Amino acid sequence: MAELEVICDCDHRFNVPESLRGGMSNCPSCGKAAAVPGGPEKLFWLVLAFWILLAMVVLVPSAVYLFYNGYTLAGWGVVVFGCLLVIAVVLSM
Amino acid sequence: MSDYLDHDQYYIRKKVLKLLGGSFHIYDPEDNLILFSSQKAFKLKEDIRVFSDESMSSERLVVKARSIIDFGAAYDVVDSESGEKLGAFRRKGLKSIFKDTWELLDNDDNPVGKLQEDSGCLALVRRFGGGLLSLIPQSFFLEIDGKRAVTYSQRFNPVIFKMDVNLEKGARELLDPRLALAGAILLVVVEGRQG
Repeated sequence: MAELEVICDCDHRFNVPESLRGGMSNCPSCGKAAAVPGGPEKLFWLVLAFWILLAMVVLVPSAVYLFYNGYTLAGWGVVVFGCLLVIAVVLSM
Repeated sequence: MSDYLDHDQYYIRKKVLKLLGGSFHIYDPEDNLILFSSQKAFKLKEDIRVFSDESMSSERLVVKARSIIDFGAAYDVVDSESGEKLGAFRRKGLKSIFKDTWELLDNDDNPVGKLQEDSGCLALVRRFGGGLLSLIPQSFFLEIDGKRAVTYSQRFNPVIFKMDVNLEKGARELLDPRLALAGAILLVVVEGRQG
């Protein structure tokens, strides 16, 4: 079974099962819980970044188009939606 | 071990009408506040910090998700005072669609117990019955080696979420009471959020 190496704050190195990825494991040396590296966060942020980029590619030209054609209220709606999206992402970090 | 763990009965009250995020209080049988937690809104990865009171100066427990996706996620339970991991709970994602089910794991991730909703029929009625039927209070049991160790019973109250935690006779020989409380916390925060 694949194992992950964990480095505790007390500098002791030990291996833990793959299932503990992104979690905690007690250090055999000091007995305190040490963070196990990894987790699906990297993939998540990549997917999220892709969707934000896609949203911006769609939202920015839409807002510009709406303002340019005099649909000011709809344009502001798109801007507010974009801002809310960014705020939600920042707060979730 | 801390004095807040001396009791066999606890009672949890969750604030439902909080604008953003959530919070809950845990009381002993004499209605003394023993634990408090407040969660931030929009947090991707659940990291529940439990304190001795509302001043949040003395941290007691940490319940931390291993991943950002709730479906089948595992949550490690760490005692803040000793810094030691006590165990973990893993949500059985597929099973929980019909009946909330969790596994209690030891430090090496081996299953040592099961936390699940009381009745399969009632679970289905609560989920798919709709309307008033969804207000039927939930009960959960934590079993270790087939023996019931802890009972979690939701009180009927459509406005305020209240849950009683009862450690059965001999439960302390089967599990650490901090894990019993961590189970209750996950039921309140994770299952409570999913309705």
